[in-house]
Amino acid sequence: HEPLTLIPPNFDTPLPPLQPAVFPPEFRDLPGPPLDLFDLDDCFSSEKVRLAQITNKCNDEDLEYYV
Amino acid sequence: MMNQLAIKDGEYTATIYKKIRNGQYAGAIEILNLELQKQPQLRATLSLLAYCYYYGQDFLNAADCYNQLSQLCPEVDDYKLYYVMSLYKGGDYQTALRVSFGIENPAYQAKVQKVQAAIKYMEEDFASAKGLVEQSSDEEDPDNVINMGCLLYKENQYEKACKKFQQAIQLSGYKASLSYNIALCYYRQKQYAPALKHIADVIEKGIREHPELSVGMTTDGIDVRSVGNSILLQETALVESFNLKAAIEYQLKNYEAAGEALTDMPPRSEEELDPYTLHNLALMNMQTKPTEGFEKLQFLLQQNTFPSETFGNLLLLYLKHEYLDLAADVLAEYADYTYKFLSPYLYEFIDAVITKQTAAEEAFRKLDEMANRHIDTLRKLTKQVQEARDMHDEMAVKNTVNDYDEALEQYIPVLMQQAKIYWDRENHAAVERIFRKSVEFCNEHDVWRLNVAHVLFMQENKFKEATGFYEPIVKKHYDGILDVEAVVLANLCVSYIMTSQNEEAEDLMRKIEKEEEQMSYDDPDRKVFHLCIVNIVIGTLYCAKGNYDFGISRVIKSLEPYNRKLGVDTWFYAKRCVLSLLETLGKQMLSIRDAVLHDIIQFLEHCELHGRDIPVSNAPPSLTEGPVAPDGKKCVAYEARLLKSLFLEYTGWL
Repeated sequence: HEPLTLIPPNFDTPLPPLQPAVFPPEFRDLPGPPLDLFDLDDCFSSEKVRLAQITNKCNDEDLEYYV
Repeated sequence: MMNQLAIKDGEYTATIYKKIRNGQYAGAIEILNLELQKQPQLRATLSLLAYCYYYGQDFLNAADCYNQLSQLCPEVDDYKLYYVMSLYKGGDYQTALRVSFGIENPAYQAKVQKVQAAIKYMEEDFASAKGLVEQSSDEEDPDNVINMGCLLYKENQYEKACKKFQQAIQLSGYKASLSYNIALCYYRQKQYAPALKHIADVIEKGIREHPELSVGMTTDGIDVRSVGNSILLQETALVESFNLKAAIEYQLKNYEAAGEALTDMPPRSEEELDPYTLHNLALMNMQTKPTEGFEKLQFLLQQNTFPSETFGNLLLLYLKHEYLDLAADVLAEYADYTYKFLSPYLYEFIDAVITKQTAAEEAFRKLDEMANRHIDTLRKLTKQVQEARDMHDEMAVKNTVNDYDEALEQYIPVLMQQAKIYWDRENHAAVERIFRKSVEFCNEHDVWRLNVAHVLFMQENKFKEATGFYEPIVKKHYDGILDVEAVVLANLCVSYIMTSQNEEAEDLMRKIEKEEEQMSYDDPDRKVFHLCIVNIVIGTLYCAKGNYDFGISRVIKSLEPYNRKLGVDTWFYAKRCVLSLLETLGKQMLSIRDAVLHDIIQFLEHCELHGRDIPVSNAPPSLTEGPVAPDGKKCVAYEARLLKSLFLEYTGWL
């Protein structure tokens, strides 16, 4: 084994600096799609209701179509 | 079908639109999908479904719906456009571009160009993106102005980019995101003061207009619920701004302020965090939470996208913690990232350091090549500074000096890694030679001066020269001497003593003692080891020179009071001296006074008493699960008892 020596200090080996992250500037694209408006009760209602609706809309002249 | 989804006739419109209005997209999607099963290809259902998917950020399904719609209603060009948008948002840039070419309606040309530019931008084909933005006839369109700014930013033309963002504010009014962009441009030009000013504007506005976002509450220790990643949060640009603030404080080495900027941010739960925040949290808490930091960075690397800094930082942190195998593994596993995310300098440096552990000669050669190139650059810059001075061009002098400083900061790590190879072999003369060669560039550099001091010190015959390097470091911090590394103070004391300047050594030690007393008065919980280390180093010096009488008494004194000074490292160095004395006594090269022997035995008894829970070495963090059974022989108390028995044996008192 070695004889007692002075206490060796730490040799400083700095590293290249670490880099924090930053958000890049945001590129502008198009605005999102708009909300289309539909009468969903017209589309989704059960057959019975829809039949009733059609009935209500019809008058005598449509009789042929209705039947 | 009677379940909770059943909706009464006549209430479809109200129910579904209410869900959409409240942002309950998942709920609306569930109902709409049921209806789609009953009546496939119904425009109303598909349109609303597409909308819900799009705003619920499910762009894949949104694209599918808009595709069906564009076939169902080929006359509606909007559907084609939203199909393209969904594909682009979902990251399918190739398909998005192909579909965009199918929109022929001239009224849509501007819109199509805009989205095509965005696609090219995301693909990092900045030249094509620029071409598309420049084709736009509307130079007053704020979006186009902003996009030109983004493209200039990507070309590192920060000053011009900044002007574009300022112009956009004039055209469309104040927007937090634009103020953020401006701050970002200043940050890239290292103009931190104006950057911080613009960030402060964003934050102040965010706090004033949206107290519900709980800015600063986490830092104040208030437990707040996540505010979620809402569109509102996005519009305030607060997350972006706090990350930028943290980055600036980090660059300025105000690490506490950097950490605070991150906790000031509107609170979100960890799984909601964006990659930038996650990255910065990892980086800025590395001192206190290294394990979590490594986990976060490794996690990010496995994602599709992550901040470009992640790769280099993870590798450098591996080097810092000497996980060289891990660094080599990551470098091999992600070979394609090497070129994308590492500068040639960073790659060469990391590669050389990793090589060190398997082939030191090879590593030295690689580092030497790098160092020579850096020296060339530094010489060239020195000449340029001189030329600019001769021309009295103040601006050029300033810029070239900045370039020189940057080049020096790149050179120092290379040089020190090179020197370390010799240092580890205790070839101090060779280390000194390396430093002599670099003196013309580095003699003002703190790290260089410190290491020169160390290497002169270790040669044991250059204490006068070592004093010349240690002394200015200490003098610089004379008002806060405890900010100086303890070993620097200790080595300066030793250097004084070895050059017969004992009074200077005593002055310095009194100064340290006084400051430690003041500190323990101001902050009783804080542990300070400065005087302790100074005494151990001096004690070791005397022991090494054979003056055990004085040396050992120093070492013994250094550990008082034992409950505060006895630790892993202090015991390691104290024990070295005691063992050395034992050996010398055993060889009958020395005899020692009984009073000293008595002191040593008493000292060892104190260590036995206070060292029951102190391990003799800092084990590396265990990779295996579960607690490890404690080893009774690996504590200070055991070793102290063993040493005591050896002394008793020696004295024949046993």
